[in-house]
Amino acid sequence: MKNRLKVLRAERNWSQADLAVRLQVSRQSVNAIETGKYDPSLPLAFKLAKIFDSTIEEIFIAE
Amino acid sequence: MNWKCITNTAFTPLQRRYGVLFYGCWGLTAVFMLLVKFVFLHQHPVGIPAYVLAVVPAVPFVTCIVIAGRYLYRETDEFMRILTTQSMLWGAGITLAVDSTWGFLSIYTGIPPMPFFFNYTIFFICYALAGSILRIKYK
Repeated sequence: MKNRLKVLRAERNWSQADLAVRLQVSRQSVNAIETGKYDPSLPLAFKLAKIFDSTIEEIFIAE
Repeated sequence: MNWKCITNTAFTPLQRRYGVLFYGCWGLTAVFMLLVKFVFLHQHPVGIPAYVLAVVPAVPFVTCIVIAGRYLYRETDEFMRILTTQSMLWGAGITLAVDSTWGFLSIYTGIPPMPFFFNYTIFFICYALAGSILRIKYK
């Protein structure tokens, strides 16, 4: 699944580590999600949406 | 819970704590196995002491499994939980593959049966290797 995490992070000038702290997960987790190697669970996707003040559909794009 | 989690600051306190406990019990199992073998070779215990002594190395080994289970239960990072689970599956899968292959060879060709503690050693080596490889993959 593609996502806009990198763009959203760049807009806020956050590093992967910054986002990881906000999400309360490891930086590896953020990297795996961002590079599309891992699709997060629904609760984690909702958490991401809340952090970026957007919807899940705006962050994740079904291929 | 790979070896680096004990010193690497990239790991969370939970991962470090469980890493220390897990590998501590792992080491304890190895020490107990050697000690018990030594005692049986030189003291030849019999009866109840022999039974009790024979079970001693299994205690830290079972504790390792409990610690791994507790870690998986308490880990809030779902991705890290998946990495640990995958590492354990690699460890268990390779151990079963070696064990069954050796078992059939032993039955049909007469080679000596695999020493039981090989299971333990193969599992932990494969588990640790898989953990390291997966962490490098998702670095």
